[in-house]
This record gives sequence, structure tokens and C-alpha cells, in this order.
Amino acid sequence: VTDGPVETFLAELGRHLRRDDATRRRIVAEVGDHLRDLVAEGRARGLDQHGAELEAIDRFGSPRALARGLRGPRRDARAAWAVTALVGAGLCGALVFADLRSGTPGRSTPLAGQVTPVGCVVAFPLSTSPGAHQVLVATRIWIDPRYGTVRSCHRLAMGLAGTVASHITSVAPPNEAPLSDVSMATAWHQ
Amino acid sequence: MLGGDPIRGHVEAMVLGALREGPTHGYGLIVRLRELSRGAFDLKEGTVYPALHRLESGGKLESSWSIENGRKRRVYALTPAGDQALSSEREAWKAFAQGMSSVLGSAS
Repeated sequence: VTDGPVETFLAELGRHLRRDDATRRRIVAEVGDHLRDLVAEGRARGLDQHGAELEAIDRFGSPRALARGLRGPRRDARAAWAVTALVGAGLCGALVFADLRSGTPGRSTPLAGQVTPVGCVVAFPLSTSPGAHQVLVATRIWIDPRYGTVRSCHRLAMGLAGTVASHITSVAPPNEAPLSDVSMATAWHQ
Repeated sequence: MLGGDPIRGHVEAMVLGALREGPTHGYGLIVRLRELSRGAFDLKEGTVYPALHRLESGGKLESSWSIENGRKRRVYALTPAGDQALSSEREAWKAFAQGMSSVLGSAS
């Protein structure tokens, strides 16, 4: 098989599919099989190989949109969010604890003065999880206001940045227009 | 002319209905849908495959590889849950169609 539009499409589909390896292989094989039927159909109607392949992949829409449609049950996504939120909450709790210890008068720990910057680096990506950024905003500010305005503002900014990032990632529009559900034969419109 | 896409939201019911005729692969399913609708519906593969996978994840379909004319094909079949879902869809559609007919009135 040459590196024509169908092969490129299948490679792209495999790259965008967020599934385990076995499922990804299964889907790519299944779609490839279907594309072969469509190409044969196009060739039988007199199209050349390249034209038949282009027509066949057009029926599937963009590989990225198809991969999004085949991304698996929603409960997997919810479970992933729950795990991320739990890990984020655990890390935030550990950071708050370490921060409180390092801030105790007369006490010096290896993390003293480093916890907040480290916390920012670790917690910012986690803060894009809806659960984790709420933990950041709620606990990190409320627990130790005695640390002073500068550090509280620092945390507030981090929490707000997390909130913004969370909204951006959740409402960002898809790159492609959604594929039309169905194309109707001309007779339907008459 | 009907406003919007009259098929949107009914793709899964149509897939279940087409599989009532017996198990088939994705390509065969689309051909079958075209034939059953007498050419009125030509569903795109980019719509049918996500629907097939959603139905399978929901336990309404099951799939397995089979050899057909020397080629390995993924074949989908209704499960008892899918059969039940099809009955519910049929009832819901009947009620909807009757309601619409009453509102629109019969052609004279």
C-alpha cells in the first residue's frame, strides 16, 4: 500500500485516538477495512486511485474529529478527573502542611522559603483540574492568612490563574467544525 | 423545508433498527440504512462509527471479528439490552410521530 490519503488518514487517526493500544489497533484496522471498501466502490465508478481515496476519507470527516467521537465512555473521563483531583488535593494538602511547618517561628526546614514557589510550579498544572483548583483557592488562602498579604496574593493569583486555565480548557472550541450527522439524498428535500 | 437536521438525535435508534435485520459490519450497516430508507438517508461514516462505539460501550451492541470472503471484518450485533432499547425508541418515535401528525394535520 502506498502512502496515499488513506494511509495518511489512518496514521493521523491512530495518533489522535486516546485509547489503549489494543483498542486503537482495532479501530484503525476497522476503519482501514471500511476505507478499502469505499475505495473499491469509487474505483468501480471510474475514479482513479487518488480520487477514490480522497472521496473515501471525506466520508469519515477529519481524523481528529473522528478520534474525538471514538474517545470511549464518559465514565473513563470522569474517573480520570476524579483521580487527578484526588492527587491534586493530596499534593496541595502536603504543600500546606510543609508550608505551615517551614513558617513556624524558630523552625528551619530544607523547604523553608521554597515551598510557595515549588507549590506554584507543581500546583499550576494541577489547578486546571476543577477539583484541584478549588482546593487551592479554598484551603491555601484560608488556612494561613497569618503569612501576610504578599504570599496570600501570590496564592490568590495562582488560584485565579488555575480557574482561568480551567475555563479555557473546558470551553475551548474544537479545531474543526463538527461533522454533519447525515447527508440527505436530494429526494428528501423535494 | 424542515428546519435544522431532522435526523440529529436519532442516529443511534437508526443503527439499532438496522441491526434488527441481523449482524453486520460498519460498511454493510451504512448500505443497509440507505436501502431501508429507500435512499432517503445516507449517513456518513464519521457519524456512524462513534454511534456504534457508544452503543457498544453502553452494552446495547456487541462486536467481534469475523472472516468474510477471506477478509477480517468487525461485525456488530444487537444485545438483549439493545433489543429492549430499540423497542423503547420505537414507542417513543410512534408517540412523537402521532403528536406531529395531529399538529400538522393530514395532507389533503
